[in-house]
Amino acid sequence: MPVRRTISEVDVNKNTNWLNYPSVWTWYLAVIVLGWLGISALIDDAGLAWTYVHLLHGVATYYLLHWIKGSPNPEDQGKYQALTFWEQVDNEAYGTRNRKIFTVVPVLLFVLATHGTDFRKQPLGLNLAVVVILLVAKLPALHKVRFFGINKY
Amino acid sequence: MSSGDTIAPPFFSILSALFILSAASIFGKIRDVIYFLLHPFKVKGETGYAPIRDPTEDFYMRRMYGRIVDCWNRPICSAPTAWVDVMKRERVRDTTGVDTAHIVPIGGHTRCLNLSSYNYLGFAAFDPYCTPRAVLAIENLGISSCSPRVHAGTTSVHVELEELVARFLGVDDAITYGMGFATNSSTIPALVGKGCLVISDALNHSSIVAGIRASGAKVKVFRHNDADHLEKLLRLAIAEGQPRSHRPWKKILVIVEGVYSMEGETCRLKEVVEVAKKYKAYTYLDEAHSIGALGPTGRGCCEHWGVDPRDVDIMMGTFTKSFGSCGGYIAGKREVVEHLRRHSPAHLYACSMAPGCVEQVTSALHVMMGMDGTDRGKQKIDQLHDNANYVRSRLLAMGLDVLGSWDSPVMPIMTYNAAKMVAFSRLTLARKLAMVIVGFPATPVLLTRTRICISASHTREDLDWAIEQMEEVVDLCMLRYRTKALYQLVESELKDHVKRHFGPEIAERATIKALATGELDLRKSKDLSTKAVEGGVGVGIGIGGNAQQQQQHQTQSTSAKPKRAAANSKAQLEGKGPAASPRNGETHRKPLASVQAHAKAFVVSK
Repeated sequence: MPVRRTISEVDVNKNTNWLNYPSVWTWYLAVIVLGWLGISALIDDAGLAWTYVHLLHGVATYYLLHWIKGSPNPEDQGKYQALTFWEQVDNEAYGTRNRKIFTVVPVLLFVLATHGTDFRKQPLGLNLAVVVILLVAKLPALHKVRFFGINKY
Repeated sequence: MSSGDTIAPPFFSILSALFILSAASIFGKIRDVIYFLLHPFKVKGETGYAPIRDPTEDFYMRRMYGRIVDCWNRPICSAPTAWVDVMKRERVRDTTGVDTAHIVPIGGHTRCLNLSSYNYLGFAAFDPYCTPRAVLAIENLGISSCSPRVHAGTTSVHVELEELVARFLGVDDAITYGMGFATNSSTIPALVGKGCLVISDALNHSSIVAGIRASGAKVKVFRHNDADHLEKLLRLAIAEGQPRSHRPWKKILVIVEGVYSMEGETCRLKEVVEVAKKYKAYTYLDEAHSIGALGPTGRGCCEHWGVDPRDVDIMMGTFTKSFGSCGGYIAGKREVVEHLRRHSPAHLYACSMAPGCVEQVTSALHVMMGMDGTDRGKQKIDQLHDNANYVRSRLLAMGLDVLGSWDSPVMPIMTYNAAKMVAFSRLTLARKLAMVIVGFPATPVLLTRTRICISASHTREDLDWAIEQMEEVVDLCMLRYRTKALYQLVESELKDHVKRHFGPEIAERATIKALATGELDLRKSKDLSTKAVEGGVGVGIGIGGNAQQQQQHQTQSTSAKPKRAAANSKAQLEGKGPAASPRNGETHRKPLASVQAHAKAFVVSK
């Protein structure tokens, strides 16, 4: 399918344009690694810690990216009131670098969680369910889709 | 800081900003969860009704702003001249002894150096030419016009002001409004509507954004100060036409600002106007911060860049910043202004500018144009540029990440980290510097900054003292974020600026360090600094709140009054330095006796 070249847009959405600054992804990965370090300090199995990190990360990112809507900036005058953070990113364009990174991280954590420790020690089905839900939520086909009216307003 | 090649913010400053914000957010979220667990019914609201507010949208206000509320809305109790009295405030404690998010004045005030008011030309307080005339206008025409312009709100002073503004800018006609924000938000809808396209700079002010939203026109945003991106957008817009129907656009309007208030940098007006004319788009220049502050005679961005004012279709500006008044204007061709007189809602329905404010602007324009018989106007603008360039070079030499163009009196210093921004504000207030900090949503969330507004009424001594105090705070807060790339870019801009205004020979020697240490003297009227210094010592503008100097100062001002007729340096200084007697609230009532004398003098001369 031919891709149409177009002029690059300016992202004026103050809620999301901070993702384009230098050290954002470093920070994201640093928070995940620090979380893993913290959890593996509390429990014995460092591999199982990856499972907990994966689950916590799944819950946190689902809430922050796919549940809460709107923008804390009052000057937007409610322009993004019906859009979740994921839907607002990059002027609602898909296939951008930010979106790719957001998609890869849950998969990466799933791989770390499943290979971190023995399959019988970890809740494999739960890990799989979390990563599948997160990946499905990020599909372009589900842009602005709300199932059964949940989280519509 | 220039645009087309924007310099990315430093890596670790953004990293630290992110950690600070996420930590604050996590604690805020924990408090939200605990509050919800303790009071589940309070959070929900009545069943069947839409919630009045969304917990996520006001999260910042509820959980983060309360901690730092003492940095904003600081009440002042004197005229905002070079020095200002900031009221002392304290946080309210609740019954259990815990600090709340409320802060109340406790009586008393601190005299601080005012680096926060938009008092660019020093017209903020008593001026020997402007104030008597403004008081006379109030006596003759009343406190308020109590009417929109089309009913009974147009007075002789309004007509005079509009003619004068048009003459000052070099265009056909002008229209004035009572409020600067409303000038933009009511004019843009009167100019463009459905079927029109507005191409606006990425960093335009919220009044422009509000006006565009209210108009119903389609909007495209071009990268800040990037004339190439503007050209690409124009070409695409004209080639494609309106969305879906592909009909040609009725009108294309390009909106830029003269000086961007959060960046302190001027727009590249020459390139933008060139591109717009090439594609037959109209240009709208918002000179809120640049009128009276840029250009050798204060005529704004057009004069600064050497652009013919007739090439800019609509020039907008405000009287709040340089002219010490309120309100705004739109100036341009006669047909445009006549159209606005019939269609702009602010002209038809909003109360017109108060006559005292109008006369203040008229008098300030007289001073700036030299029509008051002195060269105070020229001196003011020269002093402003000198002060601005000096402070900018000193701060850059100190290692601070200072944004903005040369000659611009607005100087944001990047603090990136929200915690540093707040610490800077509190520490500078403790050192008697009144400074403004800016965070989200006025700036991007990770690019917080503190902004200095230089005034023509600041003396070199004031500024030296301020920089000394700031250096201590900078050391404590570790704010030396200036990168090598930025330094080189700003230095090359300095060379361009000096070449354009002073000639190529001086441009060779122009470096930031030379300007900061005083080796390179760009002062346009060389003896200006000595006068300011004299004034600084004799007039004794309370540096550090020295009581002795205050005494000296007050006697000086009263004795200098009879000498006002002679155009000597003291009179000019007093005119320039409205801090003439600034101790407590009664001072602005003090000059009335002399005001009446002046008022009579003006009546006689008229």
